Amino acid sequence: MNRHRLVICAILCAAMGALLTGRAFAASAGSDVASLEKVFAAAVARVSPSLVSVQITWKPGKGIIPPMPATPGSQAMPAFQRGAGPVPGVIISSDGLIATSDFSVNADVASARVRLADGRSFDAKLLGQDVSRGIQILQVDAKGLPVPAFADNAEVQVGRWALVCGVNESGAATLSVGIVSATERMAGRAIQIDARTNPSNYGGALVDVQGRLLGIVTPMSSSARAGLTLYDSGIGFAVPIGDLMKQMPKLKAGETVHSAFLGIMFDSRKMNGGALIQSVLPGTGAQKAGMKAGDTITEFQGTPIDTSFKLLHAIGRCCVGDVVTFKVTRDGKPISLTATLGPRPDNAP
Amino acid sequence: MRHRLALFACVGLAVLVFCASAAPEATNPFADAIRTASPSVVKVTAATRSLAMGTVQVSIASGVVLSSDGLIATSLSALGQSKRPTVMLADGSQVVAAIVATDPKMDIAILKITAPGLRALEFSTSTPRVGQWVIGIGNPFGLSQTRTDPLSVTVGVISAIHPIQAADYSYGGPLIVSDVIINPGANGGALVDLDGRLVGLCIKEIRSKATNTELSVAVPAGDLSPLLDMARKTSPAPAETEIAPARPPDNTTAPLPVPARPTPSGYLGAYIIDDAKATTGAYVEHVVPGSPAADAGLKEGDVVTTFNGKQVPNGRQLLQQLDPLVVGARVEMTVLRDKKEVKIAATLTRTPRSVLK
Repeated sequence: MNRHRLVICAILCAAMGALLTGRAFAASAGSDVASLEKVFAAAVARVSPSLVSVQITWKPGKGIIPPMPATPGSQAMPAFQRGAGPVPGVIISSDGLIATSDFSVNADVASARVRLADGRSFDAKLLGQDVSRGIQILQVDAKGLPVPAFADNAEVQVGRWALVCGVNESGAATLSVGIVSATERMAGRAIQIDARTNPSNYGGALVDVQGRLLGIVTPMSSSARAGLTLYDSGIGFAVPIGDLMKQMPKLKAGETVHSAFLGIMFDSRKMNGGALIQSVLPGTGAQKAGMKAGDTITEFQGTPIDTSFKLLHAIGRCCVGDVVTFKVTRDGKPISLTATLGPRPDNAP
Repeated sequence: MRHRLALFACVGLAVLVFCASAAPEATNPFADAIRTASPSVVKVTAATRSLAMGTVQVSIASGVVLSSDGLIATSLSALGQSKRPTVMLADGSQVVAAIVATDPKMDIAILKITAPGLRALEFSTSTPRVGQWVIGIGNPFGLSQTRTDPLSVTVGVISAIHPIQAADYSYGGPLIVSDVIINPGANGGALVDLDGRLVGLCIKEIRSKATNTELSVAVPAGDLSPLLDMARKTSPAPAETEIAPARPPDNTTAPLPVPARPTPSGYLGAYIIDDAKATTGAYVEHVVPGSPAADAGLKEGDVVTTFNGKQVPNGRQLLQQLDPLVVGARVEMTVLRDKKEVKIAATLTRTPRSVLK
């Protein structure tokens, strides 16, 4: 018994040692290339059991995006043949939920066949789509699937290694390496990375050097074409996994998540002390909540808003139907308001 | 046995504690360098009004603060026709800038702003080397949309340090080529080393027609010094102008501050093959009729062997010697023609404007 424990202990120590050296290697990015390679390989090995490959059949007529003529301000685009895969997806719950990019899998597919890392294949059911983040959720009928460790949003820091893991033709993991270029991109909804991203790894996992899931890689745009314009450009995006999991109750229920609209215009010159409302659009959540021009928003969901732009990102992370609380200052007095966020009206400026 | 077990447990615990205390990547060199350099990188926007079309074209670029008194280097071509570009500082504040010095060949402009608390980016003290890590900091595609949004950073290595000949970029000095992708808008941004010091100023991508690829190039930081000196002459530090007593009126020898307009670079009018093999000297492929070269008697097929008293081993060297010369410069060459040496002297002129007929 004792010996048994001893062995376990020794293994534990060795594992800790390995982990420690891994971290040390990661810290000395410039010094030890061979060690760095081992760290990258270990990170891929950790996440790869959770990577799946998705084979797609498009609905009749949906497999090709027709060519687009040139318009003032945009170039003509040739027709684009949508891929059949395999494209990557990431297991996000042990009972069969899979997240992928809606660039590759969306309501236009007739069927999506998912192959797990262990070789089993399933016909996936399409659940909800987060249009604001470019994410499609799939479900396969399997239990006990390996879920990667999720990294905290706070772990996503500019300058840290950002590894994009996709899958190749045979379902094995692929890797593209870069760093976190910026956070809070695309109205606060995305992490920006400089690892090469393109249609073959959209839907893959963004992981850190310890193989923890930071987010799901996606082109972050409403049109499939926009995903092509930035591809392999050193500008890639991923949706933080924490933000995505917050939308999961809706997505699991098959709902489509749209970005929210509050309905105010604020003074963008004001750099501190909150967001000064210049006008409130009639019929929007802001008006229904009782916001008035001249109010200054100082708090959103309990978080202080110092610059107007912070509010922009905070709303950007919300979706239609969210009920959110504000603190505003009106005539020098603090007031608490609650708003239900609606969709962006067609006539919004 | 029990003893050993306890010992092992202790070691395990120690490792655990060490892991916890040494937070992963707490000393990530990229993150540290970015933290050091980012506050000195700015966003630049330039609005060009087209009277004919009645439109305003806004272009986005990046810039690097080179002195705490407000000199900022940026991409010249990104400024378009704008005389007063806007600089957006790291804290989100906006300042209108003046253009105080330009170098069209390098595609670099030096802007001057007045703002408190500016932090100059230090120049890298080591010679850049191929394979070295570099970090690009800028605002590609204007992704930093709001005034307080952070800039984008990207990492890569130096691929080559070499002069580059391109149709739309004529700076002759060695450039830093890297695998950091410089997208539109990131031009004028900083290329820094792992100490967060300036290695080069990112300029526009150069497209190779031969390979149909794009190169990301940066002008070495050291090459900015002459332009900075010129900018300082144009815009003396505000403190100096305020504190220095007025010059006595009889001091006529003191030069008046002349707005720096770089003397236009000189034009010879000969096409040189830069990498002809198995020859010594620079092979003249073509002489532009009516150019200084033609007037001086340079002919197609000549091989230039000496230039202003210096040996010319190859075409590239000749181009490099020609590059810094300005309008009015006198040049003397020895050329080989039909196995005979011929002396040729020419005076460089202004580059003729291309005329569409």
